[in-house]
Amino acid sequence: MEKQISKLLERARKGIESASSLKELDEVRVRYLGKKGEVTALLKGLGALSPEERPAAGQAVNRGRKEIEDLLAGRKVVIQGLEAEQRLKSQVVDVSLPGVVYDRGSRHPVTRVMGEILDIFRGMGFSVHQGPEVEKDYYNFEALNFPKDHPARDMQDTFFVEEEVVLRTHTSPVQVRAMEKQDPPLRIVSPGRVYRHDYDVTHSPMFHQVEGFMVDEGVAFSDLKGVLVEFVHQFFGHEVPVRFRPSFFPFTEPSAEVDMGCVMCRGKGCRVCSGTGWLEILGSGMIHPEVFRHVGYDSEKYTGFAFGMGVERIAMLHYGIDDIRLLFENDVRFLKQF
Amino acid sequence: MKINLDWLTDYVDIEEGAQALADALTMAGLEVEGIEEVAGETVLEIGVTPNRPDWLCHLGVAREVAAIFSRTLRLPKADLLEEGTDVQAYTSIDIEDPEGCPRYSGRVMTGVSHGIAPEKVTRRLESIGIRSISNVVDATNYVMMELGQPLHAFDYHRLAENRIVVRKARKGEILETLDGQKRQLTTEDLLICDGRGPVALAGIMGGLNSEVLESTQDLLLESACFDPMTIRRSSKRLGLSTEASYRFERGTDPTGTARAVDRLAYLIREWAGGDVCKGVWDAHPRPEKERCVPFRMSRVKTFLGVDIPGKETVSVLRRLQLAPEKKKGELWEIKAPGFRRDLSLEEDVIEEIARIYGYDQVPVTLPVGRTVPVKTEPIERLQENLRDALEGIGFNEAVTFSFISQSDIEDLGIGGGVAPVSLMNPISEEMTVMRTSILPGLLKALRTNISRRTEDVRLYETGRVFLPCGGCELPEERLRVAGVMTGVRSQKKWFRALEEADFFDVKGAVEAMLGAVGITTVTFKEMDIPHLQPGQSAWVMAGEVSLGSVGTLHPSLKEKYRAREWAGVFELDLHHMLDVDTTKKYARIPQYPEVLRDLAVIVGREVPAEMMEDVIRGKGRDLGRVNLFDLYEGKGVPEGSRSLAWSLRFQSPERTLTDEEVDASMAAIVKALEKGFGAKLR
Repeated sequence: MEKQISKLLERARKGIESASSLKELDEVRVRYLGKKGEVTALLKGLGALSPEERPAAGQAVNRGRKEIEDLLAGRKVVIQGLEAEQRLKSQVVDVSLPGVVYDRGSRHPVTRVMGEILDIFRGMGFSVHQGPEVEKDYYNFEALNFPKDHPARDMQDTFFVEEEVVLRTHTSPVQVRAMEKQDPPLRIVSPGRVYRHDYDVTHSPMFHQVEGFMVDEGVAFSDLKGVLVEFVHQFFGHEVPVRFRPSFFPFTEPSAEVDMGCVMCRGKGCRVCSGTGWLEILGSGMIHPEVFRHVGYDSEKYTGFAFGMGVERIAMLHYGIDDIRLLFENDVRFLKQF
Repeated sequence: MKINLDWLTDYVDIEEGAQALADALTMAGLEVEGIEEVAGETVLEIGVTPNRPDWLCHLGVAREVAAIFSRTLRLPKADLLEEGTDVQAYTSIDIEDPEGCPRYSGRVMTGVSHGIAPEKVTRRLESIGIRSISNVVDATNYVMMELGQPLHAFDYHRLAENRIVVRKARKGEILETLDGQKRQLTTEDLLICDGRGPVALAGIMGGLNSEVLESTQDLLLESACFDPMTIRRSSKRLGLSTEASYRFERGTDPTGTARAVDRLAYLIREWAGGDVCKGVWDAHPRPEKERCVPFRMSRVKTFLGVDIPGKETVSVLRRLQLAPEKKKGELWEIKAPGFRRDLSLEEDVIEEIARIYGYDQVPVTLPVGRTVPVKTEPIERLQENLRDALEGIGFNEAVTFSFISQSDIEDLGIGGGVAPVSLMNPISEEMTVMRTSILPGLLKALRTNISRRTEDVRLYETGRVFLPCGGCELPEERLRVAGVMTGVRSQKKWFRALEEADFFDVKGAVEAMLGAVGITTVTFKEMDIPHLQPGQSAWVMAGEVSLGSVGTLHPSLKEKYRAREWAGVFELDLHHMLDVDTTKKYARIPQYPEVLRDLAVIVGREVPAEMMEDVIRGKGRDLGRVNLFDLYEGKGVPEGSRSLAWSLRFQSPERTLTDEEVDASMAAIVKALEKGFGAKLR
């Protein structure tokens, strides 16, 4: 009996080891452990033995059965591993093939830059306000201390809708409208389209501005410098030099033009900065008492500063765009770059 | 304004190189835009702001240099040798319009000889762009560029009655100016007249009839001050801008006219000989009052945010010739010289102090004070979200001009039958009116792209349209979002075939975009819309409100904008979107199993799918998702009908549904579809 079992075990082991799939392995299992399997037959044959022989033989068969079961289980794990490996092998792809991409659109560089500018000022406590693009002469000029028949108006060639209605030449009218409605403290930025009667290689009749202002007690010229230096540093980088020089705008006094070191040549002088090493990027100043008078603020109590910038110019510098007309042609090959 | 560096050194020492000088001037507010060499002369091109007409001459710039570097200013010589008879015997000057002409200083010279000015003078003039004409004319130009006072020399004998009258023009008067143009005048124009009629357009240009000729020996020299607005209005109306008008409209120094005419006579005598009659005829009906401007030392500090020592402040103001004087405590006062028309407020004085002290000396501080909460308007946020959504589904943002043409409005039928907001001075025929729709701009951008062989185009824009508003002071401005698309739905790729886009792509874009901003319950109402193809156009409805339109571009427009195959467009109003309730509320996730059923019916093709879905939803109890998964027309389906198939998912939030319950729902749905639309179960 012992011999018979060990021979059987030997065959079973070989059978199990040579099984290369779960199916083959199952066939082996059936052959030995199935209802009509050899081990089952042996068990059935125990009845023919004498009562003395029976326990020992029974134990031997059961050991053999247990061993076959263990071998089967062991082989099963191995085969499963092999099969899994096989499956993965059959699923190998060329990972260098292009992915299934959903085409994304793009944001216009002017809007993108405008958003970044506004974010910086929001971070310094400024809220965004809007005003009409078709604006009264009063808000666009008069209340901002541009008297009628004054040469200062030449600085801003104007589109007229009616005698007293213009396309705003800057977003500064929002300043006046906001101050008419609210008392200080105010920190406001107003983005939007503006219009000037000028159309050539470097001028567009429509462009975008962000103008901003702050009014409170004790606002000083040094604060204007602080806020605008912070803006330039956040937008263009902290290493960029900034300078303020006297200028003239009817609605500010003192007025300052803000220059930053040329981002193209790093101040060495190039075509973009006309060799000066500096780029003009902001107009600014302390709000003129005449503006406060128009909105009924006491200029003894309150002071404030205002600033304005052309978004196209900043976008062009930021992305190295050399022709303003590209911004309004809307060539998809251009737009997709942003 | 061009400044000749050598000329400048007549009045002030220049110790630094041209570039260093240019930097110093720029940082004081006199922006040097360029330095050039003209025939051996160094010339600075400076940008003079409108508030500083006193910088429109060499002495003015020299004055600034002297102030910046604390140097001595040398005034030009005008110590005249007067030889002739008293001027009173020769002429008279009457100002009939003292508002228009507050001062007129005249001199008479006799026996001058025509010739050319010294070489140094003509070279200097030419280096700053002024052509040399003759010794007398050159002298007038030279003194203008030296002192900033425009001057004129009349031929004394060509003046009728040898006298001058300053008055407004009479209706219908005509003057032939030096440029040979006959100028039709209005009663707004200020004239210099002789005993008979006009001889010069005051402050702008002389008349041909009194011009100095080669034969001229006796001169009447004019050095006057005119009202800036009067000169500006005439100059604008006549389209005639001259060096003189440019200065007068910015304001000249009324206290300087007599000195200027002295200097002019001095130079003419030097260069052309002749005798200067005794005295100046100084008509001065409106003498200047002394202009004192008070300021507080303490305010200088708080306004600028920098503590400039009082001594320094006083020194700056003295260098600027503003004669600072202490009044009481913190209170001081400056006297504005005649050439400083721009100083009238304390802030003006503070600017002067800061300018010369140096803006770069002011520290950089961040504001301290009450905080103001930063708010974002809901419509701004909506606009931003729409941008994100459209970019997410492949649209590129465009920015087009706000101007369109009248024919755009007619072509697209977007005028609403009202005249658009139009410009009095448009820049071109194509840009005469303010847009009433974003679509014309986008369609032109589409055309640009197609003509450049980009055939798959998805563009959107969000911005304002301008709607005329009867009885309002200003037009109504509304924020819209619009899009245009053409080309393929999906490119041919290694994993899929090419598919052309159609109406359902543009509709789907609108649905996706609205979904992204929380507007999920819109319906599409078929509607004839002028710019869209009939039968492929719809209003986008949120309840009873139309948010805008979507559809296939009308074939006639397709041609105009070069779209070859299909093109879809949409345009929606953001204010209407904002009115839609988009409040979100959590609904419990169902715990019980779904029961799936398919439903296929054959129905007349005119029955809108959306209406059928409404019925399905109405009749199906505990019906969740409804998905139209098949649509078929053709073989096997009667002519004029189509087959639609939906998968329906039933699910109760409270229990497991039984087959009987679902069957009952399905039966009710089928019955309603049969009854309502004549649908037949497949």
